[in-house]
Amino acid sequence: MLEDKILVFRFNRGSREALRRIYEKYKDDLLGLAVALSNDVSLAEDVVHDVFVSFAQSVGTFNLTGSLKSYLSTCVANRARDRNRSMNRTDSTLEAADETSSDVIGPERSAICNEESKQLINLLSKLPYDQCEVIVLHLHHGLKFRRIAKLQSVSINTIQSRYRYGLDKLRCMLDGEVKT
Amino acid sequence: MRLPENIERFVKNRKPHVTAGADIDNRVLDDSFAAMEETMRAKSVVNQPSIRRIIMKSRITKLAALAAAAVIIIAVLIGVNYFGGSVDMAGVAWGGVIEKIEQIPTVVYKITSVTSYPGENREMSTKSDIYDGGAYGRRMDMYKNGVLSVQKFILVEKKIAYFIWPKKKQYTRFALTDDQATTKEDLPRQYVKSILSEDYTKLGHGNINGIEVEGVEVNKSKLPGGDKDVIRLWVDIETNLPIRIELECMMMESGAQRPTKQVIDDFQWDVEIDTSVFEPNIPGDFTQVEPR
Repeated sequence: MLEDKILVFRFNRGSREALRRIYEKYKDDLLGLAVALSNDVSLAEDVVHDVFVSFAQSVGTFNLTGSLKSYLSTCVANRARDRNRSMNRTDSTLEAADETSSDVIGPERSAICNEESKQLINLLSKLPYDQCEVIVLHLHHGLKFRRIAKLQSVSINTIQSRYRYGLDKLRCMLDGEVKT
Repeated sequence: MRLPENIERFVKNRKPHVTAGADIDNRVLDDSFAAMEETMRAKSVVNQPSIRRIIMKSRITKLAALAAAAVIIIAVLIGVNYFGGSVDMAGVAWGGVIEKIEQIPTVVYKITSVTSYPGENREMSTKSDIYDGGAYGRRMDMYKNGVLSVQKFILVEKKIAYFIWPKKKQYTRFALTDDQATTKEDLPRQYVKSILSEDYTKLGHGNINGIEVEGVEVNKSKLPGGDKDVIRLWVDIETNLPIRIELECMMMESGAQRPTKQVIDDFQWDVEIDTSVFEPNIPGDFTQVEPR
């Protein structure tokens, strides 16, 4: 936390190195979030790119009031939602997930590290986007329901419902997989 | 596949771990650096700065005047003795410095900045007097070549700010947003926190203007985002309060990173500041201009 404050302080003074450190510190986590929300590595890279360029433009005026990680996670979630609105998510099948996150790609491309995560991403992609977002932000990135409610501009009760329904659907999907 | 008993744990345990590829690293960093510098360049051409830039402007100088030797001369004149003092001297309780300055509501100090322009054989310099009245407000008088260039009054309690340009006989007055009013640019405290939160090197005892001090130094390359910067902090052994802060770093000026030396000194911690200090007293023949 203190390290982040120093990084932000130096970033606001125009330090490239501070910006680089912020990116390197959070890039994998943010990419993971963007992939979980979009089920598309290329799209996730675009989301993280846009978030950091936008963050860089705030140099000199950026005011960190809470956690930098939460702030950047919220930015990624917002950007991913915007991107998702203009994308057709119906083709986000397991095959598509395997294709976009294939391990055959070289080190110059981002990659999801394990099969279990790919399976989860595929399942999440079949949920309504708002439910997927709540589950990912809460369980993977530790955002509180209150913050997610603000992000989605709905009440906490609605967020809790979306979370519960989302988990129920995941359980049903897994149940279906087990039966088959 | 077994149906997980705890779906939440199932999801948590499968958090995607994504390794960013070289392509995205290069693309993000190149574009972000370009965006950052473009923003800095755009801000540098704005004559009348926003509230958030007050301290930036005091660090990033705007004058072509004093020579590079100015900083060295200042250091000599105030008589910093890095090798003075006895080894028997009491030391600064470094752990208590931050706590102490956090509890002090008011402080008055000076900032001297010299920015070099490598290859152009010139420098820019400013000196500023800062009156930090805590929750009441702040005032900064910036001098260029000894001439008062601009005065900034940030009246936090009243949520009003005034910028006055005596030479142009102009001023601007605008309301502070809640964010602007509560966002305090507090250079000395920020620097002290930066230094003391890191693995600093003790410089030993010294004497500044007859005050026994002890110093520490942080090489900013050891700090997150370090740019080969060096920050030194000299603290009064008796009072445990900062006496002088020296900064050597690269700062953004006119669209480029330039070597800058900054000295913050003449501290008057916990001084009583008359509220009249924060009254703009704008002469009747000054013209009000719109804030940019």
